[in-house]
Amino acid sequence: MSNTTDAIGALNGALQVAIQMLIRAQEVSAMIQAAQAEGRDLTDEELLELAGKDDAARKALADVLAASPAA
Amino acid sequence: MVLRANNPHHQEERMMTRLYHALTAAAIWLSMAALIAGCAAGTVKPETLNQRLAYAYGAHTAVLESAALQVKAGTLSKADGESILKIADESRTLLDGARSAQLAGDTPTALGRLQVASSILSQLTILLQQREGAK
Repeated sequence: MSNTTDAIGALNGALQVAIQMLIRAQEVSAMIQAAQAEGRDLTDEELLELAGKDDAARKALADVLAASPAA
Repeated sequence: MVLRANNPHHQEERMMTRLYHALTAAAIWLSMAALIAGCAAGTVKPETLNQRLAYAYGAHTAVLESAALQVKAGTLSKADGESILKIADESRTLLDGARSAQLAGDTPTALGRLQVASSILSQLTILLQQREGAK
């Protein structure tokens, strides 16, 4: 039974990362499609917008780590 | 308490409950995997360097978000989370460098930095998947 539980745990881990990847990929895909509809490539401003969201995610992880007790 | 734990009927009940939870989790996982495969098929394939950079920034954000979720859930240790954050910072520096090189018109340098950053992100993704599975 523990082998089954471990296997499902591993699948859940892979799934959780895949979901986060998919959410971000969908966001970027929509951004590219909007740019293509206007007949242009993504601009540096749009890349900076994504970099800003990345900064926010970095801060969120740093905050979680700061609040987490050491092992 | 001991009597209850040794009761064959109770043990069978616990086994059935575990089996039910395992099957439910597997069913949910399979449904989500099918959903993800369907959604992923609908994403636009990157054709330009800026589009590849955009996907790389998105993947970087997803790695950070996954790490935060796993630390919160207790499936990733604080030490491992800090290591991931440190490596992710190096990857982010490369992405920013690739964007700057592209802005300056140095496409070969931009491509090289993007490739190294993408390689680091792939390794981090595998690490995150294995860490949760190992707990």
